[in-house]
Amino acid sequence: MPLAVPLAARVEALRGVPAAGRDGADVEVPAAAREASLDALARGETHYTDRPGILPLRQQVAALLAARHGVEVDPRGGVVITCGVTEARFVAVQQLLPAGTGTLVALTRGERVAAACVVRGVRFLGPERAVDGPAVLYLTGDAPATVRDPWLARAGEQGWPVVFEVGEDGFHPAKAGLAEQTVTIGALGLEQGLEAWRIGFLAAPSATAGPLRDFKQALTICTTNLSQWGALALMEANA
Amino acid sequence: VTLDELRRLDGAKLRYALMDLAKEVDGAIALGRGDPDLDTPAHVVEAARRALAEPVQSLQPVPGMPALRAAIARRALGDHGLEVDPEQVLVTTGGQEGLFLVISALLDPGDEILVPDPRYTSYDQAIEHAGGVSVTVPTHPEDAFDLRAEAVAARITPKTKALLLVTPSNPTGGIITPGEAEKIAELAKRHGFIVISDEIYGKFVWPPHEHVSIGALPGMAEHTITLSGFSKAWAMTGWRVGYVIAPQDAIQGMAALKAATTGPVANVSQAAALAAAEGDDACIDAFREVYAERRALMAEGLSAMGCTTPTRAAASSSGPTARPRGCARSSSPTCCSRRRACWCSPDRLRRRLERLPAHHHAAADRGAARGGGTHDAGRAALRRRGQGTFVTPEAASTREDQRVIRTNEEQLVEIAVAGAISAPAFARGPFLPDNDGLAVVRPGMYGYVYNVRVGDPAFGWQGDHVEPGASIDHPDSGVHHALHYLTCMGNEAVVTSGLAAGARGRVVGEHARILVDFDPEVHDRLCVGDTIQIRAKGRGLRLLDVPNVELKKMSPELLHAMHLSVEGGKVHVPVALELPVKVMASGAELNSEYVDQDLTSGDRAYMREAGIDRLRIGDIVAIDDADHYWGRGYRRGYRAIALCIHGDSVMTGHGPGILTLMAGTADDIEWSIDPQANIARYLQIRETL
Repeated sequence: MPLAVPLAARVEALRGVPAAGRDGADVEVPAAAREASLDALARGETHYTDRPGILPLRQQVAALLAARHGVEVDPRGGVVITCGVTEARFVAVQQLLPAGTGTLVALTRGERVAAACVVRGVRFLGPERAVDGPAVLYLTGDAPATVRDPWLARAGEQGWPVVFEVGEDGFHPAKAGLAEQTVTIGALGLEQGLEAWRIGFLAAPSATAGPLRDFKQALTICTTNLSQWGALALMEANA
Repeated sequence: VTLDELRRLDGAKLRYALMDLAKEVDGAIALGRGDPDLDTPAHVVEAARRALAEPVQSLQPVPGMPALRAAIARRALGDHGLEVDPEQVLVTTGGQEGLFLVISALLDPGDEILVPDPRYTSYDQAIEHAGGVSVTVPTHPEDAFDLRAEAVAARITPKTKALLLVTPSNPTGGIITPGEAEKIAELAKRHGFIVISDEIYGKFVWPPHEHVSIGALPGMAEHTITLSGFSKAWAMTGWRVGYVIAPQDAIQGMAALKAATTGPVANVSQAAALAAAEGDDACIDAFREVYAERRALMAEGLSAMGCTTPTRAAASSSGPTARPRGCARSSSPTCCSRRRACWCSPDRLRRRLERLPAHHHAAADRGAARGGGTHDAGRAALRRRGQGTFVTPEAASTREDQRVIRTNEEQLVEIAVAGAISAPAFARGPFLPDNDGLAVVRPGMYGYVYNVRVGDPAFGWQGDHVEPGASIDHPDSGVHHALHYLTCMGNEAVVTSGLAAGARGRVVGEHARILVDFDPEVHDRLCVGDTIQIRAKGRGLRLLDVPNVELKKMSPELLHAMHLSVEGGKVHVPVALELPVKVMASGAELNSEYVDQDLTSGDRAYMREAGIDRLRIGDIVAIDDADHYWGRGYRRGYRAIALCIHGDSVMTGHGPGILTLMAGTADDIEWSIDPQANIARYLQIRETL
């Protein structure tokens, strides 16, 4: 039995848009994360956390960004823990682009943000397309410098926001002088077995992070409590 | 956070800011967060422990773990009376994400959704993100805040796509009774809208009342999307597991959205929720006992403080949030006549903050000095900053005083004035210059307009200054001016000559002529030149409890139909729209007793951005910083309430016209948005807009 009214146009538009992420291969979860979550469970960590996430985890994220990428963010006002990097991407696209009229240029791995752009009703372009008017850049840490650098230079000239999904290497748009206009997003423990724990982050200058945090709160309130403690233990072990 | 900053906030942002303020106050108790302080049941924790101990894990499908979807489907029958297939279940990252997905899947920009008020303001953010339009449906303390079908029916329009039914309600504890549920179900089927039934607190209704799932009523399966979750009933807020039950096509659509928003819910949370769904309700029964004891304690304390609570409050509440149901004032953000405790919806608080003038700060400090009570904390925090206050009603009027609009209408004189239906005339040739310099010819002024009526859009017509209905005048200058100065909006008119003699209408505007609405059934019998007599009444009308407010062109009939309330020395007016004073243009030079003032609508982009292009003829509007006492000019702290009387114009400096109904200051008049605030509704000219 179908619903008695048609669904919104954005739902129809999502058909055929590739979904980011992977299907359920078995992965081994690090003992440090599992044990920390069991400890948290024993402590009764079963309620909402602070909406942007537990502070020690935000501090770890800030420390990681400083150590690996040379980017300074305020763990109290500039870091938000999200339900996986998926939520971080979604929040950034919804908040940085004006509904229906914005343009996002994905330099790399555009399939990760394509659906979020459809929901927002914005134009979604690859780096080979010409852009008139304002835009938001999305790129990942493995973007080739030949593609990345000209667009970042243009973003700097135009004041365009940049959404940067961190990788293992040390590059960050801050190195191109774009620290103030960059929202940094990433997964926590994704490659180390925490994919099913749904834990990620976004980080930005505090003035930018505030609206992102508010939107995240409106979307999911906070991130799963136990996942946060597990991710914290893993980051501390890695550090 | 300063008072000025608070004034600029809205909805949830205001709530967050107030919570931040409260954090700085020692001993403040958070009543705004639906987070049970009880422990997640042991069997649920044990299931999670086993899941966490597994060294190998895998990502679950986006719609949810199949076993959990099946368990929720089984439980739906017991909890909601819904017979559903697991494919009709979507597991979400808390009920909050479920709501976001449902709203995003249903609403296209411009679609209207009916939302009971007072309400949980996070709804607003999801609706705004989808581009939907919230149409609030008031609930009242005398009804224990239960939603009434008649209130829903009054706000249905062709654009209504959904009703957000929250039972029990956060924050009021109001419920949907079986009888009202059946009526609302009939409305949904008749008008073809979806009921989004948020039942997250459904386990916390006490006998003799019962929880009703509207989706289980006959014929409602395809008209209902049910939302719930594990956070409240199983004290599992930190696990972030909710669910949506809907027809399969809608679930598939929402699953596609969920792949973009957050992906699947965390494994451990789904494992825990599976244990909760498959277990019995003994743990919930134990929670209910705890909540019942707390609720009784709260009710006793509130009673001792002078708060009134509905008798039904003893039997039904929203449980974990432990909010008092009911308050002494229907239109106030504060409830306690002794001012020791209060609740308020952020929207109402925001309105009060917007209108709080500087000279109230001293009164606020006096109020804080009296002290005691929940919001004294926030009040004290604001006071420490020297900025202002949480708002308390300044007047100690009784509940009855607030409800009855006291006027001097028994002193008014009712007199006949008359004119005749005019013929369209072009004073300087037919061509008008539009905003781009093009010369155009458009109809609209004078005569009889057949196809535009109050309640219709003010924008979008191929016309100029389109006047709805009959435009009447008198060639004698003295009679003309008497017709204009004595006629009031809502006065009754009768045709006194021609084929339509005896037909009755209502005055709905004053432009260069007086505008009278007649039923379309008499259109074919009305002619240019027919005489019309008006029973003019309203001159000298006053609000006895708000003496500074000047009523203009207001009949007693319209005044009493406008859902006004008086409280704390202010009159509260529902309005369809706020017009920024900067768009007020042609007619500013006229006195405010004669004809109208136009907006300047030439900046079409701004009209869209500001939502002014949604204006309808007959809408009641508010204009802040506008002094309409003697003329219509800009003056800070002043406020006008007006009526949109004609349509848009192609002429530079012109646009839809507004006629002054009330002149006052921000200390005398406050307003709130009600999309149905239109003279067509108030005078029962149209049932829906």
